[in-house]
Amino acid sequence: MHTGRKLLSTLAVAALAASGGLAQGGNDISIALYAANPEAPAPPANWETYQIIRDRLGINVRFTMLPTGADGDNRIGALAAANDLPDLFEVRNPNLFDRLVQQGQLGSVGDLLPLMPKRKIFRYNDTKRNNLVTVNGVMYGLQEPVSLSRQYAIWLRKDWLDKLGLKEPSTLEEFFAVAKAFTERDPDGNGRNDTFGFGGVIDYDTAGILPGLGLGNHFQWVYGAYGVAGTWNYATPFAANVRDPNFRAATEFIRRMVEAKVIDSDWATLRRADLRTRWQQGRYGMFFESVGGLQAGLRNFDANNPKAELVMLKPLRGPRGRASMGTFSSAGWLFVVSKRAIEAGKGPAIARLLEWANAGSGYYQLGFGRAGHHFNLVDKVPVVNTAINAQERGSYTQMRWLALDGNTFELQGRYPRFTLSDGRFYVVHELMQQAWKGGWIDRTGDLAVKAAPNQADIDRYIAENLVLFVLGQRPINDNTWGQFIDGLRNLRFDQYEAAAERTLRAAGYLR
Amino acid sequence: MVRKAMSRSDRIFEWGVDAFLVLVLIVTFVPMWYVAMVSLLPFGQQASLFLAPWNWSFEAYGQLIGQPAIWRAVLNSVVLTVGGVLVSLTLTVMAAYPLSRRELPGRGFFVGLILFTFLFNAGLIPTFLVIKDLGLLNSYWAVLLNGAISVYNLLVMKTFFQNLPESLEEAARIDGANDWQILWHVILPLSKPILLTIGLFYGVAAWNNFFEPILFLSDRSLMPLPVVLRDILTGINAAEYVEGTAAQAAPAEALKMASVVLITLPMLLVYPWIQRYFTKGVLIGSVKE
Repeated sequence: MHTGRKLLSTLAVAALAASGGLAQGGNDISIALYAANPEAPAPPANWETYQIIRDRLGINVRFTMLPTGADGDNRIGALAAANDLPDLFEVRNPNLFDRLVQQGQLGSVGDLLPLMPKRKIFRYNDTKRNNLVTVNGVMYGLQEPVSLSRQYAIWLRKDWLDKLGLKEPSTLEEFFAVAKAFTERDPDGNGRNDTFGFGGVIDYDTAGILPGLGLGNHFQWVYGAYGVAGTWNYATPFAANVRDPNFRAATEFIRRMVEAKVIDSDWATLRRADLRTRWQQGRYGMFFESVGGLQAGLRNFDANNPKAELVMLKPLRGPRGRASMGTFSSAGWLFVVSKRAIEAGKGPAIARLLEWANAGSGYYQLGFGRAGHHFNLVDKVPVVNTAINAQERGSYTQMRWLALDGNTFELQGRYPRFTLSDGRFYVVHELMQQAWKGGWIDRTGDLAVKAAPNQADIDRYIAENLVLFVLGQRPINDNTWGQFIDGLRNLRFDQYEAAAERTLRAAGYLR
Repeated sequence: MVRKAMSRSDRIFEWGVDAFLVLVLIVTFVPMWYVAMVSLLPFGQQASLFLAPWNWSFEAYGQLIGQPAIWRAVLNSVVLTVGGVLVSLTLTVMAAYPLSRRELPGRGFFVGLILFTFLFNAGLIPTFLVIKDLGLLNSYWAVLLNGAISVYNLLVMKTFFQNLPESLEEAARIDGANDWQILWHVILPLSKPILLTIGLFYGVAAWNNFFEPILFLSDRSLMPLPVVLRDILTGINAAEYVEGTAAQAAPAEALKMASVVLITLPMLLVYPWIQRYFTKGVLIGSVKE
């Protein structure tokens, strides 16, 4: 029986592959991805990767780059309306994915998985993650595992700490004391009151971490210290964290920071790029930043602050000893195949291309460029040739998200040792691994929860009220906090919460 | 010529007007000055209204101009702007002139039809479908032809043509000129102010066009300057998963403001050359006698 089933599936796969190969135009694939390197131009029409794919796989690829952000969503929406979607493309907006499924624009990718066995094992073997893109039993997307996540941390100016004779904080209270000292005791010794204990901004970017409802990802560590990081509490009884009294306590701690002026006074209106400029200028004793962001700014930081030393703080413990940098999702990029492509028999060619990109020469070609030119393989580590202009490398690897998977050697290649002007160095990929140990809470299930019809109103209501509370424009007491929580009812938050619980339970995220 | 001495109240009024204009100048100039100053911001300096010249850094401009995609984008923008002005002006003149003639049969119907599109828009998807069915996707023509005629500009130009003395046209007709010759040899030479004014409107719109290229062009080598600058600025924020960004060489604020300066500069340079026609063109075109 077992052998029979195996034989049958093999025959089915062979038949599918054959039909795909025979189908007219089945080997012409159009691909649309968001720019992997937004600064760099698209690969040229005579990009040698096209020829390599043609020679190795017999596939003619036509690659276009989607504009970033909502413009990309609009373009995909317009292409869908014109029934002109690319064969293989990327979707970053879950609502857009749902809409495309409802419109019947996406093809089932379940049949493609047996055609890319290695990629399936490495990337699509997590049932819960696959459930995120499965509707009525049909898998409509290739949900990649996240390749870079949990890379955020609080960074501390060790040189300032030593100068002021303080010890590294490990609790929220110690953090507060150090931040106060960094603000008030002129740690840079310039005689001016121009430093802040902490730098962070309101930021909801979801590059691998989930900001949850409220003040965004730069303050999740405070809520984590109180055991209420993220939007939902997956424990029993299930509830939104905002209802938890600890959520109020965490908000009060941030208010204390604001009142004590240990946080940059512009924090509520600054953007991430501004924050980066300011820590590189040496204005913060501690700041929230990703390891990638740190690497990007180290050279300037070193130029502005010679002899300065940055260390990563472990997640700070709250009153009950809890600590977490925040919540994250294990789901990364999402690739989908248009129904038109599946019907045209292009599925097997798409699977062949993705399997090639999964490992070996295809992985390196798409992920790092031409071997011996853009990179060299040294002890399995793809060492990037930095002598080649970053834009040229960026242009050559615009399709790299089809290949990169965040493996250890890959990270060593992308985030190598960074040497400062005086010879000291940071091993960036080791910092990345250190950041992963931040007590991060897996909340991948959050992505399964459908947005409420008035999601924007809910998000705005909570964020605005929290900003008012922490800025001191509204007092925090039983009365005002009660009013805030009661106000959620007017937004039908109860229904949203109940729907989230049902979804998470059905998807297997709640016991 | 004898000049009448101004009364005290007139002088006070004039001073008031001058003071108000100075205030308007300050209100409009200060943000532009701030943008220019921040674009010259070196690392280690905080953004401020005044930055000493010895502290200026052109690194942000160097970073932007040094991007390989920039020059191609500038060329694309120039093509789209020059082409856009030519196409739009030609089509607008050809629509406005007949509509300005009282003897045109069904004139009211055509004007109403055009006004209808001014009030009601088909929306994004139908527009996209039309462009696709015309086979214009991923070509400059998609951007040049979509919205080539602005109804507002068309009405201004129509009014301008209407206000030209009919006797000129009659004289030309007596001399044997046909409609094309009248338009080319009589009407257009007299319409320099309105042509330059409407041309400036079209030029600014084409130079700043961001959404249509994104929607209709998929080949990145066809993208104009605003799109490419936006991509570069996006890269600054993507340091979490993109190695090697322009922000490593210049403050993010400086890069943002330098891109504002770069995108604004060509239009600022053009404006003074046609300023003298500008007010005249708009005024004459907007008044129906």
